[in-house]
Amino acid sequence: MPEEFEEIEDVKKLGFEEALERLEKINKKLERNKVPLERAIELYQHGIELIEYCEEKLEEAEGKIKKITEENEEINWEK
Amino acid sequence: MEQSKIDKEKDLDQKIYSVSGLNHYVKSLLERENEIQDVWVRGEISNFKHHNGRHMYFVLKDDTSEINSVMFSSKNRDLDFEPEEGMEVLCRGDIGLYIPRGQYQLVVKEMMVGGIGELYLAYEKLKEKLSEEGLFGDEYKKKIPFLPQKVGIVTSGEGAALRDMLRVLRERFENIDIFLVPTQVQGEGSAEKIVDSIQKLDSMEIDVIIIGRGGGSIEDLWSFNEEQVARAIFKAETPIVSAVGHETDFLISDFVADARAPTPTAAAELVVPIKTELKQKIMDQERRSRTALYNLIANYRDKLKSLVDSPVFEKPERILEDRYQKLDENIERLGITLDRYMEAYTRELNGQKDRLKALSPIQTMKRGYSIVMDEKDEVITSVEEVNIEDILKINLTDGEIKAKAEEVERCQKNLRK
Repeated sequence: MPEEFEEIEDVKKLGFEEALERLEKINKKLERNKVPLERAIELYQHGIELIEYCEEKLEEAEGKIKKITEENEEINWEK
Repeated sequence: MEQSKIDKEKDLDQKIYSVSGLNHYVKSLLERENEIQDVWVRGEISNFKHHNGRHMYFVLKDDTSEINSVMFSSKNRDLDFEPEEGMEVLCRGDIGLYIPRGQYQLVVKEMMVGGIGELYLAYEKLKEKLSEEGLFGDEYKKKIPFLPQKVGIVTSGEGAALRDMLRVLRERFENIDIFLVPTQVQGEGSAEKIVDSIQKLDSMEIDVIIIGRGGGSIEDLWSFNEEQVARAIFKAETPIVSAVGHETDFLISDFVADARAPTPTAAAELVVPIKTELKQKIMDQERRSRTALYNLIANYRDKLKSLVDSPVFEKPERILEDRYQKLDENIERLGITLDRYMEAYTRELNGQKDRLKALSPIQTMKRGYSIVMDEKDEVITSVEEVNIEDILKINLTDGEIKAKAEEVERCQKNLRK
């Protein structure tokens, strides 16, 4: 393989977009069908880790709307 | 009398212009003068004529002076207002000369309503200044995060712009966090307020800030053209999207911000991805991973099966057969090589033998020479070695003669010398 894919220890250090890109890379590699079986399973497991992380990321924000007034206080405010 | 005749003759040497020739010449002089080409002139429109929607003819005047002006249809069709009598305007144009009348005139390329014209000039000036300072440089543009969790908004507390942004943000990503700083965005002191709001949000941990407002007149949008707003945007460490007015409005804030959106709605779309699309993308990737792994395993299984089915496993002796065949082939090739070597050696040996033969004394003796030796088989090469009565052995090619020396005589000529 020309570009060797390396798993990283902590996927949480990645941005969402990066994680998605890595996932795509893994898939491309797996689809080329030339990966040794043990390695393929490792890659797949890493892929699952990335998927879980991405899904987590999507739910991370709480969906609040805060209005910041002159006095610098935050008011929860729903339209 | 005499004197004036000389003058006249002198004059006759000079060129005499025709009227049109003179007008052409003066026209060319005017057009060559950079100082009066591409000039800005402020004045009041009078005597305005615009026949059949074609060229516009008018006079620009102030309290004490006036200048004939023309704005050709190719230029005036871009005007976003209809000039009228008494209107205060700012014109950009070239000074030229209308040859049939010998009248100098302003050929207008661009026209703006008085106050707006001044604003426009201020805008151009600031834009050029900040551009030269490098505030618009791509190297300073921060990347808008792909998936922000906290979005800051600087805009008016009420109005369609805010409503639209909130709606779009919610629709695309229902659990995004929004931090709104209601800000006066037009009128006296609004630039300072915008700067304050930007700084406030920039000091919080926010992923991206949208500053903007809905459409309005150029005066309404003006605070986004103010230098202090531009500098606050440039200084902020949070990526900022500028979304002011409509698609056709380009404000200084658009150039200095990290991204420009044509409208507030577009800004919301630019900043936040559609969550369901992302979810779909992740699901697609998951399916791809699974399929790829299954295919890979199936592939290996096929390979294994084809190996098990291969003749090697059915008849292992095949492997040995192959090896033997290869060995035989090699032995044969080795034999051929050896034979070639032997041939070459034999040829070389025979050659050497022939050369050796040519050197042997036997060939010389065959021509009638013989070798004389004493009884001890020492070769005699000089008469000095022989005494009378000595037994000599004379060797010929086919035998030996024993003889006795009867007389020893030295040659007159020494052959050896």
